[in-house]
Amino acid sequence: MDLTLHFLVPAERSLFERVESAVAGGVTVVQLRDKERDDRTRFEVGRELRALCRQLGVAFLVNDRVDLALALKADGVHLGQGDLPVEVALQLIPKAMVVGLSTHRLAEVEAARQALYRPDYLAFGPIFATRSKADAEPATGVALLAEAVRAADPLPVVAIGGIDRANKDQVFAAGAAGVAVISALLTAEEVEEAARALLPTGTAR
Amino acid sequence: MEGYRLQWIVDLDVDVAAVASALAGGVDVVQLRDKRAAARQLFARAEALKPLVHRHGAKLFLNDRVDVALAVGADGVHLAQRSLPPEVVRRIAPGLLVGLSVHDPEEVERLSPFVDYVTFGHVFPTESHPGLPPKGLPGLKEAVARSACPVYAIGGISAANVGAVLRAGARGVVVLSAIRRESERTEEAARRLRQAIDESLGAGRGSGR
Repeated sequence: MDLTLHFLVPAERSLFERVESAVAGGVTVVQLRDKERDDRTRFEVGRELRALCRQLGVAFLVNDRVDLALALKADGVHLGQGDLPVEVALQLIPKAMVVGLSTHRLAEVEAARQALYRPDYLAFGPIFATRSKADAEPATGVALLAEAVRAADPLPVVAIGGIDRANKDQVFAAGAAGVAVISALLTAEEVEEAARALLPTGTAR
Repeated sequence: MEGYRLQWIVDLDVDVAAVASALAGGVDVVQLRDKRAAARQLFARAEALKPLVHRHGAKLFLNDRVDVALAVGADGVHLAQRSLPPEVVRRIAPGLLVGLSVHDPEEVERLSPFVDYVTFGHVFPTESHPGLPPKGLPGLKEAVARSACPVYAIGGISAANVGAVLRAGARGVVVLSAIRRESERTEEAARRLRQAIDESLGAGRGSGR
C-alpha cells in the first residue's frame, strides 16, 4: 500500500466530491474516521465511500472499528492505543487486510516494533499542534519524529498532526514514509492543488 | 436462546464478584454494555468475565461491538437500531448469536426474522427512560404476537411483575438495576427474580442450582 498521503474523513456524503479531488491530487489512502456518528450511519455512508474509493483505485481504511472494516470490506484498519490490540485484530481479519497503529511516544513505537505480531505501518504524532483531535497529546516536533522513524525501522512511519504545505518538507526529510491530514484537505478551497502541495517535493504527477 | 430466561446488563465498573453472585442466583445471560469504553477496556473486562459466565453454563453477550465479541469468543452481540444492521453482523460473524432492541410492533415484525431474539421495551416505567411512556403489557403482547423469534422484556422488571410479563408471552426478561452491581445481596436479588420466572414458566434451563 502506498503510504504517501492519507486523508482522514468523517462519514459525510457531502465530502465525497472533496475526496475525489483529493485523490486526483495525489491522496493514496482514504481513512474513515468518525467518532461521533453511530454505526448505522458509518456503515451506510461508509459503504458508498468504500465503493467510491474502489472506483478511484485508492486504498480505503477504517479507524478503530474492526467490525466496520470487515463489514465494509476495507483494505485495512487503523488502530489507536486504546483500541483492540494489534494481535487480536489480526485474528479477526483476512490476510490481505492491512493494520496500522497510532503511536505518540518512542516507548509505543518500540513496543510495536518488538511485538510478536506487528502492524504493517505506524502513525506517529501529533507532530505539530492539531485542531482536529480534542484530546490530542502534546506536539512531538520533527526531531522526535526522526527518532521515531529510526526506532520503528523496518516499520514505515506515517506522520500526523497539524501537517500542511508549509511543514511537510521537514516531515518527509525526517524520514516519514507518508503524511496523514485532516484540516489541510478538509478546509482547502482548491482541494486537488492542496493535495498536490502535500506530496514530497519532486513527486512527478 | 431456548431456555435462557434472565439477562443482566452490566457495565465496565461491575464487580466480578457481583457477577459471580448473580450467576449463582440464576442469571443466565450477562450482557456487557458500556458506551464510554474503549475497545481495549471492553475486551479486557469481557475476557475476565467469560470463564466465569461459562462455568455457570450462562452466555456472554457484548453490546454493539461485534469486533470485541469476536475477539473474546463471546456467545453473542446485542444490537440497537443505530448499530450495524443485523444481516451485516450475520455476514461478518456467522458464529455469534444476535439480539436486537426493538421498541414498537412494526420493528418487531420487520426485524425479528433476522435475529435470534429481540428485547422489547420499556415495558414498565424505569429511571433509565424518565420522559418516554412505557409500552405496557398490551404493547408486549402485540410484540410477542408479531415476532418470529423469542421476545425478552425490559424496563422496570421486578420479581413482582415478572409473572405478568411472562404470561404476556415474553420468553424471559432483561434487567439492569433490579440487580445492583455492587451489592452483596446480588445473589438474593437474582434468586428472587429467577424463582418468580421459574414458577411462572416451569423449570427453565438452569433452575435448581
